[in-house]
Amino acid sequence: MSECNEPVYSLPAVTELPKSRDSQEEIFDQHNVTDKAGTLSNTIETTEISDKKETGYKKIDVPYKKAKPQRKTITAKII
Amino acid sequence: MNPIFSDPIVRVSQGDIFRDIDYIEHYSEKEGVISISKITFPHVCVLTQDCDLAQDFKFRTSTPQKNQDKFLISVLVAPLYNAEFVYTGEHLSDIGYTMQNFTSGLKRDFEILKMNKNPRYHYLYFGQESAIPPSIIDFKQYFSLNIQYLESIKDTNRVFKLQSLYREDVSHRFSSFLSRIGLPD
Repeated sequence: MSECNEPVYSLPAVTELPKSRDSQEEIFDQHNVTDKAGTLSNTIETTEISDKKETGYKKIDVPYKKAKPQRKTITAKII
Repeated sequence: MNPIFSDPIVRVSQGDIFRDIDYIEHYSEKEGVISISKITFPHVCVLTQDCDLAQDFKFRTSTPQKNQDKFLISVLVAPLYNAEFVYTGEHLSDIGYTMQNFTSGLKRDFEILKMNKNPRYHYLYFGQESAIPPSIIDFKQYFSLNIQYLESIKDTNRVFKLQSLYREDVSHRFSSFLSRIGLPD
């Protein structure tokens, strides 16, 4: 038997049916994804999502919504 | 459609979303001075096959260890980019890259991208309550991370896990893109 056929863990039932693709796009448009060229800002919003302590996952802040990959160079002298 | 799944699974698993992940571009040492160039990605998604991750965890945490045959050296991840920035081609602007701009004449192409009909990209919407915005994975961009490094930061940097089917969809589309056959122009 392939090792990938071994059960890994049981998944809880998913109760919420996914919305239609159209609904998804409606919500996407509410996020102003379209026509945003040149109007982006680095404004830090302060809203937080609910604490997900019970799941073991950390809550995160909304500023991540505006985050982009950043390059950094670190130098250190060997002693 | 909300592909978030907060599953209290202990180990690193396929579809996990991590934040603040460093990718080491290169390093050098000259006259006793080490220079390290890194890119910090706001969010990445774990792509490695889940059974491999499960086997790695199972055998790494078991005693005694007969051998290390199931151990992984690295985990494959792909960055998540804010869809808003992908639309304008600015998602990598802070590292000096200008990407495809969909605002001028390519709006239809972006709609196709959002429907996951462009093989190169994968669009994910996490719901209005999520701190992660609508995001896009570019299958041309991926890198590996040390498995033990990911394990060590999972309690502080892991934020969500993609729900089943959604994570398999990402994995399947990624492998399909990676195995495409490039034909001459």
